Amino acid sequence: MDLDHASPLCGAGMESDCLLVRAHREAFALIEIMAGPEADAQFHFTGIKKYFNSYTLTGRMNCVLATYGSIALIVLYFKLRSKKTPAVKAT
Amino acid sequence: MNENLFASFITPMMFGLPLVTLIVLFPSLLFPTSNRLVNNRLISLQQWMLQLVSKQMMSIHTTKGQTWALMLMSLILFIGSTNLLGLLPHSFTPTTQLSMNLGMAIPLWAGAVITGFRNKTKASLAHFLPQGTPTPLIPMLVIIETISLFIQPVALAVRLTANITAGHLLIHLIGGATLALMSINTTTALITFIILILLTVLEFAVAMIQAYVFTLLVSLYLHDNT
Repeated sequence: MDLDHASPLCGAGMESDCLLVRAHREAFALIEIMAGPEADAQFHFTGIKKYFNSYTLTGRMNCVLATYGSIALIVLYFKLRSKKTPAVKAT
Repeated sequence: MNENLFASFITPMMFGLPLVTLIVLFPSLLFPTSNRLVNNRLISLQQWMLQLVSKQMMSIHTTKGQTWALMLMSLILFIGSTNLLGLLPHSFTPTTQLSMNLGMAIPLWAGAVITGFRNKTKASLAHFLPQGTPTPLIPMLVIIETISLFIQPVALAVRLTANITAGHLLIHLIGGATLALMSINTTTALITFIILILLTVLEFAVAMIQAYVFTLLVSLYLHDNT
């Protein structure tokens, strides 16, 4: 798609980077980013971001599982802590 | 009038036996089946309507999603016919009961979600986090998306119940007001009567629209998961 001449509102003598054309270009880039699993290959993360990010399918899945795991751990911690609390002795 | 405002929403009984089962099964009598190649007018009209709705609703689905076509068409026919029959005076409308609407919404929603988790586990889990979320917002957004997922069947059921119940209540109130105003001021009673007519027309539309919305939303949840 030739985005430079995409908009009929950009006149023949105007710069190719007129506001409307720029908006089209950004929208197209956004659509490309949000295309889905087949677009995961375009992201080249390194380190921990390779497994935990909000762009690739795997990254998003791992973030979700990590969030649920953290909540489960917090709940488990408070449950176990309340059992260990000794009862108040009568004086 | 006030003490029996909610009388039409009480499940009917006869000699201690509940009539709800008969009322729920009654709309099926209005949709005859035929194994003839060339049918009569009623069945031809019914088939034409079903074809129109099923084409419009099932065209977005994959092959797996289209296996739900019978379920979704039965759903829209049932809810539509039940809602329309409920507009008859002194009749009972099963879709005013939240229990019944929850009984329809929860299994259908759960079926769609479980299908998604079974067939596309990664994509279903990734769905809880919108793409491009800033890192500090991730835990909060996951929790929000989880809550919004579990709210879906409740919203489905409550939407149908509230719309149909509110419509029936309004008809009852405005009808009562029209009767009361007849002896006081005839002109005002006439205006109220015109409002009642318009409201009844609106309720006919709402009855069909709510059936369509319920089925469409179930279809969309299925589409997200297949």
